[in-house]
Amino acid sequence: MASDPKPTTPEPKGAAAVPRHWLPSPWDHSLEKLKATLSSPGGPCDANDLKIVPWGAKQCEGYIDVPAAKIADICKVLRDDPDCRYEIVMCISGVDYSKEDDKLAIIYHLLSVANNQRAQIRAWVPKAAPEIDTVEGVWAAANWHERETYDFFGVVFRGHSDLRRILCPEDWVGFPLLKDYEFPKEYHGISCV
Amino acid sequence: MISLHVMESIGGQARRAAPGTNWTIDLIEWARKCSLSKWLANAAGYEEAPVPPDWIVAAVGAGIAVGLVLAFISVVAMFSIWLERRVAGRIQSRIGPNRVGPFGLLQSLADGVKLLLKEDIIPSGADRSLFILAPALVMASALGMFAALPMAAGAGFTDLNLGIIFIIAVSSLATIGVIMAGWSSNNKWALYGAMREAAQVVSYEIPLGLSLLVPAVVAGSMNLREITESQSSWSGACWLIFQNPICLPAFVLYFVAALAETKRAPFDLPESESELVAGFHVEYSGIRFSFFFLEEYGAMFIMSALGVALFLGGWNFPGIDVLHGGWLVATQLLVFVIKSLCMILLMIWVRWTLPRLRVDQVMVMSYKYLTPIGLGLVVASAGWEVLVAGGLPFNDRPFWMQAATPALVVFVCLLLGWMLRKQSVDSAAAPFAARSSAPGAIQT
Amino acid sequence: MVPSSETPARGAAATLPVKPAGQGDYDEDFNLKPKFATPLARNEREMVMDVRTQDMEMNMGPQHPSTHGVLRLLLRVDGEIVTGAVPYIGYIHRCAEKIGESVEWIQYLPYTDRYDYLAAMNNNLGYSMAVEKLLGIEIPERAMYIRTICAELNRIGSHLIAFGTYGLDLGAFTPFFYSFREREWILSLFEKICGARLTYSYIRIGGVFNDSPPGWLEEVAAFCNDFEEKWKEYNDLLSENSIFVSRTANVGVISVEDALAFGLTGPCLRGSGIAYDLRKAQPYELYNKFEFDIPVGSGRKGTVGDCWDRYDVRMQEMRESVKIVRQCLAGIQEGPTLAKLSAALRVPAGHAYVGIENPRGELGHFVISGGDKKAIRLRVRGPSFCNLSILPKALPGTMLADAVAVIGSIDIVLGEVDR
Repeated sequence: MASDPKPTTPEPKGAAAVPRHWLPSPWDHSLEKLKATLSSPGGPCDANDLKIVPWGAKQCEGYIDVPAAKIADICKVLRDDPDCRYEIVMCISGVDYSKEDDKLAIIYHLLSVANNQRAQIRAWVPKAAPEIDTVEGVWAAANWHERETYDFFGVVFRGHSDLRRILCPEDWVGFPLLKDYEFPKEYHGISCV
Repeated sequence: MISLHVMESIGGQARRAAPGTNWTIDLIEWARKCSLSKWLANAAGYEEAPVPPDWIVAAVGAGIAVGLVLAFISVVAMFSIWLERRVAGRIQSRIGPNRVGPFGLLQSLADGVKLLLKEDIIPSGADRSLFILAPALVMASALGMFAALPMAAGAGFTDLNLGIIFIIAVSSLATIGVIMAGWSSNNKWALYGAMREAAQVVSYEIPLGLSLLVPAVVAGSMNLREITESQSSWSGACWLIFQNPICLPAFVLYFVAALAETKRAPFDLPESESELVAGFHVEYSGIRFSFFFLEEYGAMFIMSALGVALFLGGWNFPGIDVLHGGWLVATQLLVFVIKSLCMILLMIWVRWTLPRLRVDQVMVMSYKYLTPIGLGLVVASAGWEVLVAGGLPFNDRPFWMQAATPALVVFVCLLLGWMLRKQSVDSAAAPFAARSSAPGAIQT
Repeated sequence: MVPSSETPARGAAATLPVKPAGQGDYDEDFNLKPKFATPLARNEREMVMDVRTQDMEMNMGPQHPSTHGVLRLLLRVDGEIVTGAVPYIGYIHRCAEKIGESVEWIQYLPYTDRYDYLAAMNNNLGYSMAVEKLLGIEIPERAMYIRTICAELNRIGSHLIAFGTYGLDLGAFTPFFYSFREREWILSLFEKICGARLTYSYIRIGGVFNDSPPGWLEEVAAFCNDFEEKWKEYNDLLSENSIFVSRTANVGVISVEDALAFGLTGPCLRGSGIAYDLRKAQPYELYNKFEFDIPVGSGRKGTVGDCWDRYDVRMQEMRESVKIVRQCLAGIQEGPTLAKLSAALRVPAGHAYVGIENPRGELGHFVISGGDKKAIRLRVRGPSFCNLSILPKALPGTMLADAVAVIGSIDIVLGEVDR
C-alpha cells in the first residue's frame, strides 16, 4: 500500500497544471483498464458506449459513463471480474447537476475489498422519465440505496423488489433533491416555511 | 377466622388458634364497653351493645391481619426498593436516591405517593374487568403467602401443617394474575411477557418444589414453624443447611429457582425491558402498576424468608436464647427480617451483575439441569438421613456431619462453574441459533 | 429478506403480505419452504411441525428501548422465533443532503455533527477532508495530529457506548454506567479543547478550529493510561461472562458474502472475518505513520461473524485506538493548526468522494461543487444506513431476544441512518 494520500505539495497556481489531488489515488482503478474490461469480447458493452471522463478533466474525479440500459450487466461484470471484484457498492447517488439539464446522473461508487481499489461509474437517465434497471441482484445493499435515490429523485429502478420511499414519509409529494423541486407550504397542517 | 378456615381446608387441621384471634375478641369486647357503643345501644333501645356473632369477630380479625400484612409488605417492599436502588448505585459507581429523607429512605414513599396520584389509565382496547382484576389477584397472592410465614416463635399469622405446599400454591396464583394482565392489556408485548411468565413459572416450580422437599425430608415435617423450631440451638450449628451435605446444594438450587419464580435477573424474561419494553405490565400505570411492583418485592421477600426459614435457621440466631418474652419475639422478628434482607441483597447483587438469559436457555436450565439435580438431591438427602444420620435430632448429630457442609462448599462451587460452562457450550448447538455459514474465502 | 410478490406502485405503502398456509414460507404441512429452510436445526423443525399457529406481526419501535433510537421494525414472529423483519426508517430524517445544497460550505459543518452524534469528530473529519480534496489545500501537520487524536478518542467514546448499550440490550445494566464514566472523561477532554460535548464542529475545513489548550495533551496521556486498566475490567465483566457469551455466540451470524453484499463496513465487516480497515487499507491523514492492528472476528466463542465477534472487534479496537493516540502524542510537534482560507469559501468545481473509517464503518462524503459558495450535491454515505439494511436478512430464524442482540451488535445510530 502506498504513500500518504494527501498531496504534500501546495496547489500549483498555474491554470494549466492539474492539481495533484485531482489525480487518481493509488487505490483508484485505472479507467482505461476498466473500460477494457467492460468492453472486452463477451463483455456487456461496446467500447463506443463507454466514455471515459478522466481524472482532472473539468476538475472531476474520473468516471466511466456507461449506458444506462446495460447497467445491471455492467455491474455484474464489475462484481465478478477478477480484476475488479467490486463486492461492495458504497453508494448509489442521484445527481441533478442543474435545473436546465434534461438528464440525471446516477453515480455508483464501488469498493473492492479483495483488490483494495475503488471505481466510479456514472449512468445518465432522462429527467422526464428517469428509469434504470435495478442492481439489487448484484449487490443486496443496492436495495436501500436505490430506494433512497427513488425517494429523492424519483428514479424508478426497474425490477426492484420493494421500491418505495425510505426516508421521506410515504405520502410525501415530489422528489426533494431535484433542482426544480419546490418546497411545500405545509405537510398535514404542519407549516414547512 | 375465615382465612383460617380456608387455610385449614388447604393445610389440614390447624395446630393451634391463630395468635390474632384472642386479642381480636378482646378488642371487640373493649369496643362493646366503650361509651360510644353504649350510647348507640341505648339509642337503639338495648341495654348494652350486643355480643357480635362469630363471623363478625372473624371478619374483624381477618381485617386486622390483612391490614398488618399489607403494612408489613409495603414497608418491606419499600425498604427493598430503596435497598435495590442504593446497592445498584453503589455497584454502578453512582449514588442512588439520597434526597428524600435520611439516606433517601423515604424515596419509595414519595414514589408511592406519586404513583397513587397518577392518572389511572385503562387502554381503550383492554378487557376492562380482567385488566382491573389482574393487579388485585397478583397482590392477593403476595399477601396470602405471608400467612404461612413463621416470623418469630408464636408470631406467625397461622400455623399450617403443609406450610411449604401452601406457599408454593399461593405463589402460583400470581402467575394467573400476570397472564390476565398480559392478555387483557391487548398489547402484543404484554402478551409475550405473560406467556413467558407462564412458561417460566411452571417450569421453575418443579426444581423449586424439589429443593423444598429436601428440608422437609431432613426435618421430617412440612410445617414451617416446626422446621424452624427444630433448628434452634445455642450455636447455630443446627441450621438446616449444616445438617447434611445435601442441604447446601439444595439451598443453591432453591435460590436459583426462587430467582426465576420471582422474575429476577437473570430470569427476568417476563418483563425484560430491553426486549419486551416492560412485559406484562407495559400498559399499567399509577396505582395498578405499583401493585405489580409491590408484588415483585413482596414475593422476593417471601421467597427469601422461606429460604431463611427452611435452610438458614429462621428466627434462630446464636445467643438469642438469653432473651425472654416480648424481647425475644421482637428480636426473633428482627433476626428473621434481617436474614431475609440479606438474601434479598444477594438477589440484588446478582441482578446488577449478570446479563439476562434467553427464553430457551431458561427452559433448558430448568429442565435439563435444575430438575434432574433436584431429583437427585431429594433422593440423596433421604438416603443420607436414613443411612448416615439415622434419624438423629439435629442437636445430637456429631460434629463431623455438620462440618461436612463447609467442605462441600468448594465442591459445589466447582460444580456450578462446570454447569455454567456446560450451558454455554450447549448453546453452541442451540436449536434457534442463527444458521452458520461457510466462512468466506476472501482474504485481503 | 421478506419476500414480496410484486413491486408495489410508486410511493405505495408496502406491507408484509399475510399468507395463508401453503402460500407463504411454509408449505401445506407447515414445513418451512426451502428458502427459509437452510440448515434448520432438528428441534426447530419439530417445533414448527408441532405448533401450528399463524404468524403474528408486531411493531418493534419506533419507541422501543433496544432499537437505539427511532427505528421501527415490523417483525413477523412465530412464537419467540422471528420469521421476517422489515425495517422502517426516516423518523428523524432531517434532510441533511438537501440542506447541504442550500448552505455554504463552512456552514454545513455543524450538520455533519448530527448524523452520527456519537462520533461527531469523525463526521467533521470526513466532511472536511472531502472539501479539502476539492480545495487542494495542505493541512498543517499539528492539525492532522490533533484531528487524529480527537477522531480516535471519539472512536473510543463511541465504542464505549456500543459496549455499554450492548450490555443493556442483553440485560446487564452495570457496564453501561461504567462505560459512561470513561466516556465522560473523553467528553470533558473535548469540552476543554472545543467547548462542546457532543456536537463539536471542531475539525474544520483546513485543520482544526484552535490549538489544544495547555496541559490537554498530558491529560490525554493520563486518560490513555487509565483507560487501559479500566478496559481490562470491562472485558472481564462482560466479554467472558458465560451468560453473555451464550447470548451472543452463534447468534446473528453474518457470513462474509452477506456482509459484502449488504455493504457492511467497519466492525460489522471485520466481525465477519475480513481485515479491512480504511485506516490501514487506504490510509488517510497520518494513519500510515502509526502502528496498530486490525481486530478481526475470530469465532473464538462460536462462529465467525456472530454477535460476539462484532462486539469483540469493538472492544479490541478501543485498545488499538489507545495505541494510535499514544503514537500521536509522541509525534506531535508545535505548529499552526488551521490553513488560511477565505471566510466566504468558494470551492473549485469538481467531484470528490472521500471515505473515512468511522467507528461504525466507512463514512463517505461525496461532494460536487460547481465552483460556487454552495454545493451542487452533497451525498452522505452513512455506514449505519448500509449496516442496518442487513436486518431483513440477519433476523429471520433468530429468537426475539436475539433480534435485540443482533441490532445491538450492528450498533446503529439512527441519526446517521436517517440523516
